[in-house]
Amino acid sequence: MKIMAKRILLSVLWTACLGIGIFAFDRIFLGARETVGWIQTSKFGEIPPKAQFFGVPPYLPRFLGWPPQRIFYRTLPSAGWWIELGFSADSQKRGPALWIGTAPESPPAELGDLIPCLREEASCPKGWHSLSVLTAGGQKIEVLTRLEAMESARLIEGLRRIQPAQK
Amino acid sequence: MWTHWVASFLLTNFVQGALALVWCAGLRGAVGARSYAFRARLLEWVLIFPVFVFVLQQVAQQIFSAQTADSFVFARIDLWLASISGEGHGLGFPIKLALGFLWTLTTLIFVVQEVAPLFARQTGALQTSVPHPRLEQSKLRICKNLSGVTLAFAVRVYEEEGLNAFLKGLFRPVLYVSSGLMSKLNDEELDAVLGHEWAHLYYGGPLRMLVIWFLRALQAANPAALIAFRSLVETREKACDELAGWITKNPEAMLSALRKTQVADLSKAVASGAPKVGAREEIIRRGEALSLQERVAAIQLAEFDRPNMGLTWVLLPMLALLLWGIR
Repeated sequence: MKIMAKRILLSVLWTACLGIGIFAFDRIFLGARETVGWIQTSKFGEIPPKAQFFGVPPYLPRFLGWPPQRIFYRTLPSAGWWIELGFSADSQKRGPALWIGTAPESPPAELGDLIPCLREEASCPKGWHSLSVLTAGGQKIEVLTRLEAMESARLIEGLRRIQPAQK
Repeated sequence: MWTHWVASFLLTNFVQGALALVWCAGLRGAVGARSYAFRARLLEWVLIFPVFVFVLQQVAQQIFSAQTADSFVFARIDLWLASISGEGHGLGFPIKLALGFLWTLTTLIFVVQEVAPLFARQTGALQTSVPHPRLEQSKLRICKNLSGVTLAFAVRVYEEEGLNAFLKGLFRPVLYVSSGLMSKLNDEELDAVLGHEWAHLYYGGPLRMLVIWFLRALQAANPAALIAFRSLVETREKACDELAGWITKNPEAMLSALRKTQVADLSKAVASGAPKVGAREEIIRRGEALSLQERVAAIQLAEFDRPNMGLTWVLLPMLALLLWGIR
C-alpha cells in the first residue's frame, strides 16, 4: 500500500512537472497576455500599439455619439481593430450608424449581417453602404455606414488624411 | 477556414502526442519497471488520448463560451500557429518548412510501414489449412492451466516451410500455425506459442489492434504516433510472451521456441545468400531478427505473473488533464 501511494505521488509530481514545463515554455516565448482573435474593450488606452489603431477619426458628424459603443482589437493572427458608432442621444435616429475598422477578411462576429457587405455591396442590409479608403499613412480602412452620402464623403476624406503613426 | 482547422489539428496532435510520449517514458522512472502489459497500455493511451481529447475540446468549444473554454490552458496552440504564420519575424518560414517536411516524411513512413504490408499479405496458403491433433492437444493443456477457461479460437495448420504462427479474423479469430513451425517445436514449445497467441486475445486480439491502427492512421503525420505505434507492437509481443510464461508455467519453453525461430531465421538468411536477397526482404528479415533478439532478452527479465493494471486507472485522469491543457 505504501509503495502504491509513493508511485501515485511520483506520477502526480511527474505529470505536474510536465504541465508546468510546457506552461512555462508557452508563456516565456509567447507572452502572458497575448490572445488570438478579437478582444472587446471599452477603453482606447487598452488597445496595444501592435493593433495599429490610429485614434479618433479626424471628422465625425455632430449627431454621432462618442465614445464608440463597441471597440474591438486584435494583434494575432494579424493586427486589426473595429469601432462601432451610434447616433447621439439628442438625435432622432437610433441604433448603430457606422462601423470603422481594418482586417475585412475576418471581422468580429459582432458585425453580424454587415459581414457579407464587406465583400459585396449588394449584400448590404437596406440603407447600409460599404466604403474603403487608403490613408496617407498607407493603412486601408473599411467603413460600413448608413449615413447620408455627403456625411460619408466628409468622413472618408478625413480618414484619407490620417498620417502614419509616429514611432 | 478548413486549412486553419487542419493546421490546428496537426499541431495540437503533434504537441499532445509528443508530450504523452515523454510522460509515458518518464513514468517508467516514476513508478518503477512495470510489466510489459502495463507499458503497452500506456503506449495505447499515447495513440488514443490525443485524438479523443481533441474531439472533446472541439465539442467543448461549441457548447461552452470562449471564456470557459480558454481556462486551464498550458499551451495556446492557436497562438503558436499565429506566431509561426505571422509576419514580422524571420522564424515563420523555416519552422513551417521543417514541420511540413516532418509531417510529409512521417506520412510516407506510415504508408510504407503500416499500409503497404496490408496489401502484400499472402493468404492463398491459408485456404488449405486443416485442424491438427497436436495443436488440439496443446490447446487442451493450456485450457487446463487456465483452470477451465476455453480458448476462444480455432487452431489450424497450413503448409509453409517458414516458422510462423498468427491470429486471423476480427470476430472469430483463427490461429494459424505453419507446418514448418510445427515440425521444429516440441510439445512444450508449441504450448508456449499457443499461450502467446491466447495472450494476444486476452489483450484484445486483432479487433483491438485494428481500432488502434485506425487511430494511428488518423495521426499518420504525427512522428510521436509513429514511435508510439511501433513501440506498442513490440511491447505487445513482449507482454504476450510474459503472459504465456505465466499460463504455461514454463517460461523456458517460450525462450527455447523463440531461440529456435531465431536460429532458423539466421540459417535461412545464410542459405539464401546475400546477393540473391532483395533489399526489401533483407530489411524485413533484419527487422524481424532484431525484434526476436529483443524478445529473447526481454523474456529473461520478464515478470511471469498475471498483469496488475490497477495503477493505470489512477494514471488515466492525469494524462487526460495534461493533454486537455494543450489547445
